[in-house]
Amino acid sequence: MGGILVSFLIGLVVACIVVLPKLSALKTVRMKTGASDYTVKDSLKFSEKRDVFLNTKVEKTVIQRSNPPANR
Amino acid sequence: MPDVNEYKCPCCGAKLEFNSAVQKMKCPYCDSEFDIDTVQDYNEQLSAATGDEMNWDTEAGGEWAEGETSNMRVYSCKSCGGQIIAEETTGASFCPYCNNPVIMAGTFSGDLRPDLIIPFKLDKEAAKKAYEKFITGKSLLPKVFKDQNHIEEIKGLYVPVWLFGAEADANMCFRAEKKKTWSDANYRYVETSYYQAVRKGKMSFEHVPVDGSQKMPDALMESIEPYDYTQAVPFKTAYLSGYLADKYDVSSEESINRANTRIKSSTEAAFAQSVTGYDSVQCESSAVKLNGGKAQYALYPVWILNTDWNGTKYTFAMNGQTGKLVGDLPADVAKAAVMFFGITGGIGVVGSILWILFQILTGGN
Repeated sequence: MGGILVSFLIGLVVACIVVLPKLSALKTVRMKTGASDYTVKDSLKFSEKRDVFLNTKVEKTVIQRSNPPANR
Repeated sequence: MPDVNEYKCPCCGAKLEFNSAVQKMKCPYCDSEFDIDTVQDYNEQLSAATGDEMNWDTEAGGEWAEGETSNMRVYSCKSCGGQIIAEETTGASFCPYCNNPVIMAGTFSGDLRPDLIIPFKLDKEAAKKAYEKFITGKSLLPKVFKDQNHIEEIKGLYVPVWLFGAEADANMCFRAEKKKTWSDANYRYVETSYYQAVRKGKMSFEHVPVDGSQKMPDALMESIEPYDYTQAVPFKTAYLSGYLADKYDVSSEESINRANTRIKSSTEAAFAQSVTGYDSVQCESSAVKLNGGKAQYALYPVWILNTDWNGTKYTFAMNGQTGKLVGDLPADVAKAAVMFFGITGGIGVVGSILWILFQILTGGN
């Protein structure tokens, strides 16, 4: 049964890959997010560029194992 | 009353507290610890990078010379309320926005004279060809829509736009993170290093266009950008001959917010690109101040086509200078569903048969 389910899931993914771009190609009207077409060339100049280290945090999580190692 | 300072945790944004045991600022939520100087500097930079100052000199457009508009007529659309200008000899019969008949409302008077105009570079034939090319090769476009011929209704229209230019002086703070993971026999470790990236600088924008017509959808006008401003020329009424022109009904003051949004967004994106070498970067605060902000009034050439299909209005626009054509098309939902379920079912059935054959041949092992 697992193989049949996987086959249909692969089919579903391929259908999405084929059909969704075709549908989105029908929509070409959208607002611009910025004005990058209108920046003056080489006008970007930084007066301050500073990266400050704040701190480091270490998180540890237990690795779950199905067979816990035997005590020796 | 004494000032009460609240310091924000750079890791999670919660309020930090002084921990006397470690003599550091400590976050009660994520347990991060910071030196007092580091926290103070971090919070000072954050508060410095807030509050935009976006002021504009919006005086754009000029006065019409005496007699300059005497042969220009205003046509009014009773359906959508649009007002179109055309030379007496050109005339106008239908509204370019809703395709309903227009009536002559009188001679053109008042309003501002455009500073600039980008003349049409592409003619109606080019617009027809672009539209035909635009609707071909789209397999999910309904065939009936494709077969109906609307291209005779394409109209050349000068759309009013406000052009904004300024120098953006920006101060931004980004939170950046570097992650390192490793594990031993029992634990998986994730080390996150936090940084504050401060960026101050300037960048300039020129001729950022904002649609000055209510009837022309903003998204449609922005979708056909960019226009090549170097081909703009001082306005002359002769350029309107043979075309329609829209009157601005959105003032330069009303257009400022859109220009500000676009300029701020691009400034933030450009500054963010300079924060490199991290696994994640997030803008925490930004302040943009505009210097020398000025507006101009211009007319941009657009070929426009309106059509109704199945009770829905579809509008297409082509940049009259570059030929870029846009417009949302209807989708053949039934065809899309057939294609979607056909592919899913086809691959599913073939895969299932192969899997069953494999099971039989290997004896189910």
